[in-house]
Amino acid sequence: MQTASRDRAIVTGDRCAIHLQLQEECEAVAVRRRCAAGDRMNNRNLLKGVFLIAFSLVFGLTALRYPLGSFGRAGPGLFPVLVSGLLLLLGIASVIRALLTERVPFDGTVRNIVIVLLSLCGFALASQYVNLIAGIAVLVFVCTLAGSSYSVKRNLKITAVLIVIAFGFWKGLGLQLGLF
Amino acid sequence: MDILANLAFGFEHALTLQNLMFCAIGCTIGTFIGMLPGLGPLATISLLLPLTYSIPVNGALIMLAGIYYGAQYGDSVSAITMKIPHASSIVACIDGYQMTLKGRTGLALFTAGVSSFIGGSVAIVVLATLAPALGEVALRFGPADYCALMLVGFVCVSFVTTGSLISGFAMCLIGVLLGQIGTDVNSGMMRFTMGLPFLSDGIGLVSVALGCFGIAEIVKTLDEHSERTPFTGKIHLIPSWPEFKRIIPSALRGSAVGSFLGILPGGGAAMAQFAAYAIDKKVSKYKHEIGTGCIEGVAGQAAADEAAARTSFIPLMSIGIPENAVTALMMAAFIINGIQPGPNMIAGHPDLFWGLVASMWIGNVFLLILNVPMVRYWLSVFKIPYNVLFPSILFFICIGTYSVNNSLDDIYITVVFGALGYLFSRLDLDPPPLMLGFILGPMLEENFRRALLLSRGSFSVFFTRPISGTLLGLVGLFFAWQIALFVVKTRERRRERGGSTTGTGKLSTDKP
Repeated sequence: MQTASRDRAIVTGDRCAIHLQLQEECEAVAVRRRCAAGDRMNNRNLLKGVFLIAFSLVFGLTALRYPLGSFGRAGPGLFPVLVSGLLLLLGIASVIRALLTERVPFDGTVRNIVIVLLSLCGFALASQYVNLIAGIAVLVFVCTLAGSSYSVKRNLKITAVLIVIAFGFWKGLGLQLGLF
Repeated sequence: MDILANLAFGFEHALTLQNLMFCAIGCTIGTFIGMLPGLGPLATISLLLPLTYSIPVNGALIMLAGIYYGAQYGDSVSAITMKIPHASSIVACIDGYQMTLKGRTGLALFTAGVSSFIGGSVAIVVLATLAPALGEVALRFGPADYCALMLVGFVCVSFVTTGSLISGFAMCLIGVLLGQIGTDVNSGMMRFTMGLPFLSDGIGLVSVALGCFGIAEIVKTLDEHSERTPFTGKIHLIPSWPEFKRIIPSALRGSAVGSFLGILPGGGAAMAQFAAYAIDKKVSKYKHEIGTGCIEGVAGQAAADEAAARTSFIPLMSIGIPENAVTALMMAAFIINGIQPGPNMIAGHPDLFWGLVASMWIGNVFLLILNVPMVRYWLSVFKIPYNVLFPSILFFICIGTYSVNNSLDDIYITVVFGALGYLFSRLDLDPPPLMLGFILGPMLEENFRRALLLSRGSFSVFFTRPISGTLLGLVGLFFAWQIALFVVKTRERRRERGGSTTGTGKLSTDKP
């Protein structure tokens, strides 16, 4: 594409366009080189394939330790081994496809998901060892760290409303989790 | 006439005061939760599933159906007013949102409601006629045929929902493997439990669904940092007569397309609405207006959406094999409530089957008379800032997970699946096929083992039986076509790239 427009610029004799085109091409080459040299692993499709292979190996190798039996009389390990084998093939296929097609950079931040998951764990722990009220408070105060703004007053209000709702569940729908 | 008698029988069961109430509650809560950003029908159903445990079976099924339709309508409301797409309302974002920009939100919402009603009514007739007939065919299915049918479902769902056969099929297999966790039914052996006692019953369906659909979606919304401005425009619902007349032809076309596509494996709402929209664009009297916010663009797809959602119950209720993720979840919900869907359901529990069919229609009426006029109050959900909303949704996720087994351990499983679901979304792997694989996995294994037991270990049984042979042949052809397509595309791309980097000078050497 780029060379084609450069040729067109040459034909039309547009000097400025030639200059701009050359500059762009140099940059593109530099970017390509950076990609090739550095983070080759930063490819979403490649990571996807690697993930599928890893997943199939974890399940497949575990299943191999169970009795396999024969096809006529399948043991508990046979079916998972077959399915993981198929998944392994798909994983390899998607690695091959990733190498043949354009690179897609992998993006994603860890911060928000970690905060949200921690808040859920906190809810479970606090509800188990203290009570549901503590659980709700932990959940609200931890998970809002992932929000766009943080306000203690607002969190107190949310906690209060959720406690009222939990009370309703407890009395009305027979939720087993004791509030106190 | 048989159908009329059966339907009357169904209405008799659905029209008790109690069942009407469950239907209304289901529709209302379903709409409410379905509207929330990031919670589609899958997450909504799994979130509300525990609510149905304490209700008699008949009412529970009716309420679940109500939740499903409510969630779908809620989806289209948020799509029309604020362009928030869910899986089942992508097309509604196009013309529906354009109509909002023109200040005709009320008309769009009314059109969506009425078209859904028309689509649903047509589909119920199809359902009531076809399901019993197909049920008789299903009695001839052997284990090998069931296996083949499930594979066809996997392939179709993978292709329809993700567009990439490899990724989608891989997700199905991951789901099947996750469904293996727990006690093996035949030998009683613990598989993949890592010695943890609470895994011996397997992973809870609600944990998987809420992790992959609820938590992952919430975090994705948080990552985007986009505070949505709530909808504040005026809503004028009642259309004029000429406007009303424009709804009907499109809605009928959409109903036909949706009813047909819903029955196919892997079909359902997502595919049907695109097809209906495309057809309207070709044949509608107002086709030049479609895309700029006109009634036809909303009516056709809404009717198709609803019709497909209903007829996708046909494979589930007559054969017992769900063919997409939502009906798979519904099947799991049925089983939790003690009903095994399949050919025996219609014969064994006619009150349940026909009651459910009738209540689908009643649910539709509820949507029309309850939700459409009250939509402006529903929209106040969006006045709540997301910073308040998401802690509350997380709380409901916790309570929903906990109340399945009254066990806090399940919350940790949900956390694990939240992490997995987030990873999936970042790796561009769509979770709906996983859900189908997870629910069908145990059934697939059961039938696979039985088929091989009957054939004494010979795989030929899958190819010599007419039904499974045909189905597997189709799967094989489809795979071959996909591979061929990929090879051709890669070659073309290579040629293009080769042509451009070597420039014009190379051209002459290309042709010796």
